[in-house]
Amino acid sequence: MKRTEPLKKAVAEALKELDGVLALRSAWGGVAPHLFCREEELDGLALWPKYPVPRTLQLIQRTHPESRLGIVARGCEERGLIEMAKRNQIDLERIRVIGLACTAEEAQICPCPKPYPSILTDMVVGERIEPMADKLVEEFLAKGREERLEFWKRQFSKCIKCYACRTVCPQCFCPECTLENELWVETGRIPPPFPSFHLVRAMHTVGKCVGCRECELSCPANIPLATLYTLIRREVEEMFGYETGEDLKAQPPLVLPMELES
Amino acid sequence: LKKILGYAGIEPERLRLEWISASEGERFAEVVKEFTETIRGLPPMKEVLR
Repeated sequence: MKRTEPLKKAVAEALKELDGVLALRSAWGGVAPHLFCREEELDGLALWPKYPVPRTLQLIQRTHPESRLGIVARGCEERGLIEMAKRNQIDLERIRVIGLACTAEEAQICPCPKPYPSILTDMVVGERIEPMADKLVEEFLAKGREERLEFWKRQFSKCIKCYACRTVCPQCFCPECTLENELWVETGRIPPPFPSFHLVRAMHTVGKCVGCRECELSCPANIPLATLYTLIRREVEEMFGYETGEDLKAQPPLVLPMELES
Repeated sequence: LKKILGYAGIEPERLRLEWISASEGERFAEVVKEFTETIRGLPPMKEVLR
């Protein structure tokens, strides 16, 4: 692949000044996140399938707050990092982003608003391509109310309540999750009650979801979660003019500051 | 929230948010009456979700 060599070079360069660079590594027949600390390790550097590396970075930062780390990030991951930073989940000051642009093929598998990073770094490996249209979303919008309801009833009835969508989400970090609270979601039922389980989660993505599709990619039941969350993201843009992960300074619409400036 | 209900295929009319002051007793009664009628006109949720 064309991007691998230049990316290796960029990571090797960054390693001269950093403690480590978080990226993906191919080993034992699989691809998993790995903290590259020495240049010699870079032979195993992998690009795809993508993985929610911002979450991994958060874990490392929690145990090693003083570390100076790099991260190879795609457009979605950059957006994720930005929203996480706004909610004090990571310290961007101690992170250097090495950008990776998605290929047209990748952006087709995983359509998103911006398949390349551009905010936290000037260093981007690969060519920028334009975002691809999300056909499922357009198909869904053509449905009437009853058809929509039937669609989700069918989709959500496949849910095995594994919580993968929540666990993998870079924006899900509440110490106590409403989805496990009997008050909101009746526990001990599989599939979980419709619509409470899935709509509670949908509501909680407002102003946070960056459209990385990790939820959908990790769902063992192949529920098209990103379709619902994409529609919500569009509403947030329309109602509040807020685009997730696009501006470090913009205030998320549903987050109220503790103290207003007087 | 109404938008989300719409995307989920649940009638958004089932949700209504109004601001009514404590001094507007009459208005409160009106809104409740109106909303109750709206809800009565819709099929029960139990059937919708079945």
